[in-house]
Amino acid sequence: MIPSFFSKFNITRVGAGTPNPAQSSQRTTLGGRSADDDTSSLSQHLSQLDLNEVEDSSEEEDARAGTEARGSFEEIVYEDGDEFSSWSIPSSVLVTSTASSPAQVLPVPSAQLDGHLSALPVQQQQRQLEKERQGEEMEEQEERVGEEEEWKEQKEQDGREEERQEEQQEQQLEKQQEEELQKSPYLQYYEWQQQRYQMRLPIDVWIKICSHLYPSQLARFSLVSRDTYSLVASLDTWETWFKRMYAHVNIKLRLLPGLPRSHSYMLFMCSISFQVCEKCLKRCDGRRQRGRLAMMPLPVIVPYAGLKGSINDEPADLEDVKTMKPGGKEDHHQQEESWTIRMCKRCRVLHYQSHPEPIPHEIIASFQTKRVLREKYRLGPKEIQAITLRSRGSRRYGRPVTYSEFVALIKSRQVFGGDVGRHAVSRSLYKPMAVLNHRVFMYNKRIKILEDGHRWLPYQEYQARKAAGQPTCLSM
Amino acid sequence: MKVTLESSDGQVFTVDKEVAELSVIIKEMLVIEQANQDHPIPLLNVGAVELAKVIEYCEHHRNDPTIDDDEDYDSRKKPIEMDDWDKQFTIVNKEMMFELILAANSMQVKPLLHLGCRYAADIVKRMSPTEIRDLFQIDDDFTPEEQDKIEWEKQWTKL
Repeated sequence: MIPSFFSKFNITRVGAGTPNPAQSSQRTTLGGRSADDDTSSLSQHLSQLDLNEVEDSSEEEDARAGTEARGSFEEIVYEDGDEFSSWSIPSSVLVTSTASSPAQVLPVPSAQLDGHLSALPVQQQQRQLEKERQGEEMEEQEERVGEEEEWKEQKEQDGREEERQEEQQEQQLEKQQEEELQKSPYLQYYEWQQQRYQMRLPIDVWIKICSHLYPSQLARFSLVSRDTYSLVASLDTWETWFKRMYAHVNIKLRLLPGLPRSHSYMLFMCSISFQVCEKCLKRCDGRRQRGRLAMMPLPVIVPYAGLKGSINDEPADLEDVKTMKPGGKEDHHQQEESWTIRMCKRCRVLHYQSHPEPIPHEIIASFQTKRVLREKYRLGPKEIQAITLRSRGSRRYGRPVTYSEFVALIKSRQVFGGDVGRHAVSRSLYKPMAVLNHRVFMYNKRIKILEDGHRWLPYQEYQARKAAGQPTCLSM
Repeated sequence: MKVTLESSDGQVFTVDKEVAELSVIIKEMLVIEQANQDHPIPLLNVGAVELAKVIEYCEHHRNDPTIDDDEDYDSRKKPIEMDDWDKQFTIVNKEMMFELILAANSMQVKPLLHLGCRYAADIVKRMSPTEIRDLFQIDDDFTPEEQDKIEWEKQWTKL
C-alpha cells in the first residue's frame, strides 16, 4: 500500500527540492540533453553556470518533465518552492554555517590568602593586619560601589549566556541540517513526507481506519486534503469492490494511462455512484421494475450502534450548547451519532426490519378508500385487497369500503423500502441516469484523449474554452 | 512467570507472561532474550499512562482467541464484536484514544488496535471535511480549482 504514495509527481518534487549543488548540476546536464531546441555548445552552457540560474533551470525542467509524465489535470502541480522549506536548506545558510562560538569565559576562583599569611614573619603580619583593617574600611565603601558594578556585570553575563544559548541552538540546527544532508535520499524523502503528512496517526493506521468506512464516507474523507486524497486513491478496496460488482459479467475496466491502478478504479466507482448500493455493493438497474427510483440505492440514515457514550463523556463546547435543540442533550447526540449511506431496496427493507420507523399517531385509527390509498401509498389492487382490516361499506347509503391506512403504510414500506423509497416512487429515473451515463462517457473519453497524447482539461476550463470557441483538444 | 516492562518515562510494570504476549513485539522479544530476563523490556514509544491502560486491556482479554490479520477481512460487513467492558473502556478523551492507538500500533496489540481504529472511524464517519481538519489539525492545501474538480468527480458526497 505504501509504495503507491511514491507516485510520479512526488518523486519529481523531491528531485526539484534537493539543495545539493552537485545533484543539481548533474540534472542540468541531463536536461540539456533532453531539450530539443537547445543546440548550444558546452562552453556556452558553462559560461552561464551561476548557482542560482542552475537551480532555477533545473526546477523548471523538472516541473515541465513532471507535467509531461503526468499528462492529466488529475495530478497536482507543485510549483512553489516554499513547500520544500521544511526539509531543504537555502544556500545562504550553508555559507554562514562556519561561524564559531566565542571561547567560554570562566570565572577565576579567588586565591585563599590564609595559607600565605601563616608563613610570613610577625612584623609583616602586623603590618598586613593593619593594612587589612584600613582596607576593610575602604572595602565597605567600595562594596557599595562594587555591588552596583556586580549587578551590572551579572546583567552583562546573563546577556552573554542568552547569546551563547542562541548560538548553541543555531549550531544544533546546523548540525541537524548537515545530518539531513548526509542521509540517503530515500530517508530524506520519507522524513519529509512524514512531516508533510500532518495527521497525527501513521499511514498504516489510517489505512486500517479506512477499512471501516463506506465508499461515500471514503470519498468525503478524501476531500480533507491532498494527503487524504492520495491515501484514498491508493486503496485496494476500490478494485475489489469493482470485481465483486461485475463478478458475473467478468468485465475488465479500461485503466487511465499515467495514473495508479487503484486511482482509475476509484474514479470509475465515483462515476457510477448513483447505481451502487454501499451495503451489498451491487449495481442496481432500475429498469423494468415498478417504482423505478425506489428500486435504486437511496440515502438511509443509519443510527449509531457502536461505541455509545464515547462522545457523550466529553464536556460540551459552547457551540454545541448553542446548537442544542429543546429536546435535550440526547436528541442532539442522536442527530450527531448517525450517518447516511446509499442502500438498495433489498438492503433498505432488511435495515428497516431491525430499525423500524416511527408511525405517525394520526394514521393509526384512520380508514381510507382504495383510490386514496393507491395514490398516497402507490399500492397495487391486489395489495390493497389483501388488507383485512377494513370497514364494511353499504350500497344503500352510498358508503364505500374503506381500508386501514396504518396497514397500508406498513405494506408500502415493505414494498418500497422505508419512507425514503415510498416518496421516491413518483419521481422519474431519467435525470440521474442521464448524469450517470454522461459521467461514464466522459471517463471513456478521457482514456481516449490521454491515449492519443492530448491533455485532459479540467471541467471548468473545458467549459470556458468551449464557450469561447477555442480548441478544446490540446497537445501535451 | 512474570515479565517486567519499562515505559519511556522510566516506570516499570510487572505483568504475567500470558498478558504481555498479547503484543506481538514483546512475544518476539521474549523468544530472543530468554537468557537475560532480569532486565525490564524497554518500550521507547509508549508513555506510562498509556502503558497502564494497555495492560488493563490485555489483562481483561488474556483468554481471547487471537485475531488473524487477513487481508480479505472486511470490517464493514462483519463489525468487530464488543463487550460492555470494551464500551466502558473507550469512554476516554479523544486525545487519550489517539495516544492509545499509537501505543497499540507500536506494541502491535492487534485487538486493541482494531478497537481504536473503529473508534476513530466512527468519528471520521460522522464528520464533514472541515470538522476533520479541525480535529486532526490538517491544513486544507487544495487550490479552489482542484476542490471544485474533486467535488464534481465525487458525487457520493452529495446525498
